[in-house]
Amino acid sequence: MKESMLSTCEKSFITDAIAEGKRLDGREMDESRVMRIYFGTDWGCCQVSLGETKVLAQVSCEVQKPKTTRPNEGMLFLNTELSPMGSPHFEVGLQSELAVQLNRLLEKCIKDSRCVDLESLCIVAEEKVWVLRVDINVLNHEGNLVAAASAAALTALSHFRCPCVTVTGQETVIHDPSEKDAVPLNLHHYPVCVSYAIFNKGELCGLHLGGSSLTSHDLILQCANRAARRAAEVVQIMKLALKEDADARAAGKSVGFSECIQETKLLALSQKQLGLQLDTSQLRGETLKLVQKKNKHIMYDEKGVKVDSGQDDRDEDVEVEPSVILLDRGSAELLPKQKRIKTERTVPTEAGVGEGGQNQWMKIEGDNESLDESDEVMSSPSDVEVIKEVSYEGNKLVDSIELSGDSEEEETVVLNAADVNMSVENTDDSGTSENIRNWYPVKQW
Amino acid sequence: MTQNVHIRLASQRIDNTIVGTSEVPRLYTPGEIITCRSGFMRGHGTYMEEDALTASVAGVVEQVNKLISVRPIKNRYNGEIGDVVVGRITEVQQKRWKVDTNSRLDSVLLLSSVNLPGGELRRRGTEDEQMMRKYLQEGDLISAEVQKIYDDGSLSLYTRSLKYGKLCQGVLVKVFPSLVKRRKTHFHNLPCGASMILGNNGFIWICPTVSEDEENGLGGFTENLLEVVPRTDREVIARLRNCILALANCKMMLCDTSILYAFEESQKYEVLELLRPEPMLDVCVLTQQRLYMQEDE
Repeated sequence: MKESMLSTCEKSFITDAIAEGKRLDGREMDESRVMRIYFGTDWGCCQVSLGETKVLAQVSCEVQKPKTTRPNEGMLFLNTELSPMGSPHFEVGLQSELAVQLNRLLEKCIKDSRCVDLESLCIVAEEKVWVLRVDINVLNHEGNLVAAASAAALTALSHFRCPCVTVTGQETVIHDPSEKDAVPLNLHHYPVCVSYAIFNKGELCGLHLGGSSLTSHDLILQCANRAARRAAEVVQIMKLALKEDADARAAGKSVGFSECIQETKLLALSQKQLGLQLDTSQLRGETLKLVQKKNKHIMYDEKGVKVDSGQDDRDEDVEVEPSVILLDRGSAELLPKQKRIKTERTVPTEAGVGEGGQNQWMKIEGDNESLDESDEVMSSPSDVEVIKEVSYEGNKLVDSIELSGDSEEEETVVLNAADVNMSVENTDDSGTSENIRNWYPVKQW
Repeated sequence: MTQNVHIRLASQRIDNTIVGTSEVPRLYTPGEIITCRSGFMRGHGTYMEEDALTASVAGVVEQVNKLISVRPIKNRYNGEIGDVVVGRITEVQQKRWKVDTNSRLDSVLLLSSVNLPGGELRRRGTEDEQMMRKYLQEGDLISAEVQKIYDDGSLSLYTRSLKYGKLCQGVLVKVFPSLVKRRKTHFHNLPCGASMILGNNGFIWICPTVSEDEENGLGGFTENLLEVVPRTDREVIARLRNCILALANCKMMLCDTSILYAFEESQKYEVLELLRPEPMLDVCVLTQQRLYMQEDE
């Protein structure tokens, strides 16, 4: 399949947005997507996901005769595979330009930089050396393959253990890992590929080995500094993941890819996080007006819906956090949380769900069987009906939709009153906070 | 101004099927056995499995004497000579352009098949080749007619008439090719103030109506990107687009009458609301009723 083209107006939209400093998914100019590293059960098997891009790397070794020019060194081979699994427009076979480019970049990054201590791979000089082979497979291509692949390769190499070898006279014995612990590889340093994209006029940084744009010296320097910082970050992430994995293995816990592979839920089109950023300036003004007018507001009949309004660390930007009100079946309204208004009444500012900083969103603990949720009502005190906690036992997986930051589900929620046992009570809002429940699901009334 | 966020469960989708009064044809799914009797020749979309003729695509069975084939519901555009298509230039090659028309292969637009600016009929020389990029670049939208079909199934287009050419300010809507009816004319000037080109390949172009006296014999390649389209026109175009998407969603055939009816029925909704499933279904049901009434007359 050929890659679908972007239309001219889409392209110009993206470039204009970049010129204004905005990106399609709301990231900062030099912000990277979240990188997650998972390890498999074997040594040397790891999967790196950068946002939705997923790359799998596997290191394997075997004994061979060394090169005659370098009799004391082991060898390292890198192989990159872009299969149609990663993207429909990848062809089977290594002919595409991207595949060749990727392979060459990774070779430069890992082999030519001599990060792996090849001399330590020697068993018997001129006769037997370890030959390492890194196979990199792109599982999903959503951009920035270079960074993901390089991180995967590097992590796999750091994770890998070579079987222990003892040389006794003429014999060499390779010990099974169960007899003797395998030996990790020696890595001198950790070269990581960091990529930037250059847009014209040098507004944005772009560093691509082999790119063809004209930039000035200080731009390159700037890029290099940023890349260095980013590379350090990546290495930190890697080391942390490695350490965790090592601890897990030492403790005898099961390791493997089970964490990142979910069989019970449908994950197509799902994202780890629902990022919604609203223009809150207008919203805030309006809600303040609403509160002051003391209008009767909509009450919740149904299960509360929560929407994560972005990452936690972005709470500082959002002064007013939105809350979701369910209007009727099939639609909900997002109104911003009010700030604590200095009135005499303690306005039920959804106290708790509140003001920047802490993540107050509901977290559904553990299993999906039973949900305890409380619904919340917005705004003005007196004419408001507060609905008590809604709880139900349902075996429907579909009902237990989490839209929090840890959610892996589709952004759909059942808003069906019939599914839910409700107990609706009218209470006079006397302004005490205990009558007003927040979004917290924890206790049951 | 509150922002509406509509969240719904996948299992609670609105059912988009509008069952008409006419008979619904029997649909076959891939792997379903069509017939076990022998003596039939198998056509496209079928295969033999253990003496039973099975369908390999989802569609309706077409039988011509002894030939059984399955015509798929959703497939790429298969060209016929004389079809009007809307396509996007993907490549500029030596003496031709490659056009993406939602078919299996890119279609071809030869340099000799286009109108040169000035409308002259002259031999295409080497300067013309070098100026190709000035006429049409990658990413441009054109309307053209299918001139002939090559052996491998790719189409050869031409824009010899003045009504074909480069498309400028407007909206492109992509639907299934099988939803567009084959009619005598595919260029419609709607009374609501917009013009529409219903491409047989499923690409529909909506643009503000260009008044007739502005037409001059420039071969359709001039671009008028500077003219600002007024807001009322934009709203009409946006509403039309949403109506077309609603009809396509409910798998109704698209022609100028059905789109016009849908447009009129949708007036009670705001343009924004037409993107939700319930208004879409509502508009389509009303449109279908009007179409039946019109047939009965």
